Amino acid sequence: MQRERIEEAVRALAAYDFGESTSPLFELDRLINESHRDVKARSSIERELAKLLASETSLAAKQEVCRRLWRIGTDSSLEVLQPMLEADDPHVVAAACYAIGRRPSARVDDMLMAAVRKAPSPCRPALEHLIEDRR
Amino acid sequence: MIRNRHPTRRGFAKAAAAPLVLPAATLGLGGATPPSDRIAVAGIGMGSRNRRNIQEFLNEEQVRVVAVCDLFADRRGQAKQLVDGHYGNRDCGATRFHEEVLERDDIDAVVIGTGDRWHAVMSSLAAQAGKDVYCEKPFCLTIAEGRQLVDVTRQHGTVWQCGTQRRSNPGYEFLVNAIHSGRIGALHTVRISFGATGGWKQNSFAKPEEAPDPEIFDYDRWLGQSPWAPYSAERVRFWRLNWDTGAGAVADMGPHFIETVQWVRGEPLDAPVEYEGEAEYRDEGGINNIPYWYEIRTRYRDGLRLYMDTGRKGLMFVGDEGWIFLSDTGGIDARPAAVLAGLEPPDAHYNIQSQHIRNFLSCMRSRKQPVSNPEAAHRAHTIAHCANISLRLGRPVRWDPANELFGGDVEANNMRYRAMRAPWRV
Repeated sequence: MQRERIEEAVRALAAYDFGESTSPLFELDRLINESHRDVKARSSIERELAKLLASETSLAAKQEVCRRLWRIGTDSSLEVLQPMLEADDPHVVAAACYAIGRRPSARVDDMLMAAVRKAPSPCRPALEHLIEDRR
Repeated sequence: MIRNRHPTRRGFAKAAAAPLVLPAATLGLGGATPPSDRIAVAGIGMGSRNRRNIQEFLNEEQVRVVAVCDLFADRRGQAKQLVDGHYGNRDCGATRFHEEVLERDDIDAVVIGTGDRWHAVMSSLAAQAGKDVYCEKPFCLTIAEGRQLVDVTRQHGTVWQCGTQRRSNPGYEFLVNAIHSGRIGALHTVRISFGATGGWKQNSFAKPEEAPDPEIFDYDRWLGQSPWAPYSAERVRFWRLNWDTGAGAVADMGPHFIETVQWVRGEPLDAPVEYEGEAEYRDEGGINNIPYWYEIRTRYRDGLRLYMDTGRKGLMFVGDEGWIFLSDTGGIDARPAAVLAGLEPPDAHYNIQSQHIRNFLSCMRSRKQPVSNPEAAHRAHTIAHCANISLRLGRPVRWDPANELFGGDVEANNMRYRAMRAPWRV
């Protein structure tokens, strides 16, 4: 799978905001589906999504990244999800929780425990619920 | 009458063997249920579908509808008018806060007809408050949500019936009996069709707008567990067409027909083990991100094939000696004609609902499991969710019904669960 195709698809997502057409994201979803058996491509997609998540981008774009990490995310993208879990904006925390879901990972469990200890009260319920649901 | 037993459900269950309701004739009421013995019901989510449900409950003499709850002021008003008009008074409570309904200890049961994203969450809150529940389908957005609700109702000992009313429809019972009596020979294929694409093909864009006054429409509560997004009237209007707020077309209609397939098989807890299919989506990138057209092929472990598609709404059962088709509007057809020889099919129109509601009310009194109980409904919904997951992944998946897992398929397994927006949860 061409690296340029992946980068271009993720770039389209970077410009996304609420209310706009999601059609520029279709190529990314095609790539995700096509790369089911292509570990290298999947890893490349996850890396690009993580880079986008770490950048200054809209909440809508972050949510769309997290919807995709919900499916294909691994421990490789946890580094960028950690500050989101520790954010003081409940919408950002919720997006990170969505991305993590119930994917099995001891690192995730540790991260959630660390985040809930620091979380301001509006952000805490989402983390607590996810911790309980993952048990 | 029912209210008094909620605080001591376990004690009640022990006593359930004794008749709870004295025959009204012995009380000199000419067959009427004494007021003290009426089941007090509230409706939550009072759009057109649940107003129809509530009308059915109003028709039951053993029921007293006492409150309605909706996030839209106009729907609250319409529902209150419906109930007050029926009883000829102004007694029906109306609120936008479900908490005010659930904390009332004079309410025995709630009838939930909210959007899909709220069904399991509200059912769970009701169970925790000791209320029995009649809940519209699809009752969960994910497989995990369904399993969680099964556990919650079990933990609280509450009665919960899914609003899959076809399960109690005499026409469907006729269909099941005809197949069981060998009229079409050995069953090998079932095709369930959910109707033309029509409404599922609509689309629009969710342009952010200023949210209304919550007293007129409480958007944040409406959004419930779904990821936060700014208010848009179109998002609200087309909620069924987006995975964030609805469960999609297959899970909307699927549970009705899938429960019937499970009934025919006599194995309500089973599920197909293989799923594959094709789908078409709107390509404008608007609110509609669910498949509006699909062809799904599944196979049970014993070889029975279950197909789902967008053909004429109904169920087709194919055996080695013939087929029988039940239309959703009630007609039954078969080939060869001898399949139905000597039989008189009853009306099987989808709107026949009173038997399903009576089954629920009867189970409230007996504390037995209703026909569309949480476990059976969860399994039927799971089949629809597995089909959706296969479509979304664009590839076949294999399901292990006993362990509720896609064996070794991490990506599909991830999609069994979705974190909810706090504070809402099952």
